[in-house]
Amino acid sequence: MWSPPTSAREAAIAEPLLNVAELSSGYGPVRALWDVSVRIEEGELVTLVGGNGAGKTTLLRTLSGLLPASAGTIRFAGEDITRLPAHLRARRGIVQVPEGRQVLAPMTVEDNLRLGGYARPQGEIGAALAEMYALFNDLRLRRRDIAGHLSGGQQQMLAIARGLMARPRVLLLDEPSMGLSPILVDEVFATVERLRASGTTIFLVEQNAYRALSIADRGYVLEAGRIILEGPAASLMVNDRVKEAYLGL
Amino acid sequence: MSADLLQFLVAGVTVGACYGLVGVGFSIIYNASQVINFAQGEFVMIAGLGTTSLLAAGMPYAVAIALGVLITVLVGVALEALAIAPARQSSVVTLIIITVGASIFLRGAAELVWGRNFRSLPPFSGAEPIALGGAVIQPQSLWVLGGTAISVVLLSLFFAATRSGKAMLATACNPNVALLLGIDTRAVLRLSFAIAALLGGIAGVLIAPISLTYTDVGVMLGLKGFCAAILGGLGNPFGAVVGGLIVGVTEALTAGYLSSAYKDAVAFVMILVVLIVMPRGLFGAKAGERV
Repeated sequence: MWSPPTSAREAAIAEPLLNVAELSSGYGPVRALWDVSVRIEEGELVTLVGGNGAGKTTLLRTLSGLLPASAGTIRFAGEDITRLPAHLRARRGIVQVPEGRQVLAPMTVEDNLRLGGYARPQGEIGAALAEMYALFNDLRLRRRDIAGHLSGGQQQMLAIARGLMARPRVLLLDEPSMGLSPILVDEVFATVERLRASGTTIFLVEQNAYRALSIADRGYVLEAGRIILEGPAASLMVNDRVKEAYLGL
Repeated sequence: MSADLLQFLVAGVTVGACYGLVGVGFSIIYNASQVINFAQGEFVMIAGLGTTSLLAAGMPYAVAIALGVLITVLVGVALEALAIAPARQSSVVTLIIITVGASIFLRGAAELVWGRNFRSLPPFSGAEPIALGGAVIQPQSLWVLGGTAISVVLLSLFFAATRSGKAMLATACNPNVALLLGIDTRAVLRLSFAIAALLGGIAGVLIAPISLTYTDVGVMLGLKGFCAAILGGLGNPFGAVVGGLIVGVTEALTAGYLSSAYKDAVAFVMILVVLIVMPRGLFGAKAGERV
């Protein structure tokens, strides 16, 4: 049934889902990000590429609240969350899948997944689990195993599935292909594309710039803590500077 | 088995169970924050002395015990809220020093309330010793063992089957990931102080009828509980129970067969040996398991 949108709704639609403006952050006195502005619309797959030490993980940690912002604002779904504690951001749907997988190694695969749904009504966990097992068959087969005993690729899938259990409004993926064999890298990117096709909003941070840009809608290039380029992924792929620095062309 | 040996074992297991409960408290707070709470022994003292006062005020014994333990839990929560939470940005070493200060403060405050006298609680049920193969068991020893066993079973159910328990495990494993999952790790720390105080309080009321209670009773019990936690593997609550039993029995055997003068030294010699030979204790996490 059609109903006219309210003005609050219109305002929310006008503003991107995640709106980061002139954000600065760092570690104590050491500044690692300068005036970073990023916006992500609902349903978009946006990628952030950059070399080692460019500040990619720092940006994600600041977005998820593990690091405090020293200046600038983060707005999410029309609300200023710059000072919101990390666990409350997770509960609002900003879900970070951290670099290096970081599964809860001594716990079982299923416990990891259940904890992924920690912030959800507990009645929904069973259905969400079934959904994850349908999506990731390896995890279903190993659901009673200790997460630390899984292979690197399986741990990455577990980390992503654990993130999905929270029913993210935006999924922040930090270097999901890092340290994986080429076949598993293919599998990870196929998974990201599948999630995007199902409507999940994704912010993908990658060193593998070529792969990331080939599946993304838009991209940002981060260098030494500053955004130096942004635009549609297809145009970044043919940008001379990007080609030289990140695509090895 | 000689009657003497049996007698020593009974005494050792009884006091060891209390060390174990105190040790579990150390492990739980350590898991939530990497902090060693040196005020852990004071929980034992507050529960014991608090219960003597409530009993003296005319309350039924069971009510006095329950309230004594409840007061201890409130003290534990207050300790976290007033001393630890305001300093949570500080280093772990700073927080540990704060707990040492809190321990001295609590002993001083207790002395103002209760004076320096030794007090005792009556046994929970009868003082008639039970004969067992030449040894005698105080009925209170059975209360200690039963109370410890029930506490440990309930605690393991809490970790295995409740959402809060799993959240505590996740926080112990990786606090940053816990935050990303939406777990309020500050609430987890608050809860860990409450549980540690609860267990210390239970140990305090269980042991008071056997060992008397006074303002400094928590010093030695706290240190022995710390030994139990280290021996069992810091961070493994159930290892601490086993550690406590080992410390208690070794101590009782030393006191019985060598000299009671060495009794207190035993635990500390054990802790030195453990730290040198197997620093992660009997059941400690392997280094690779901590992310």
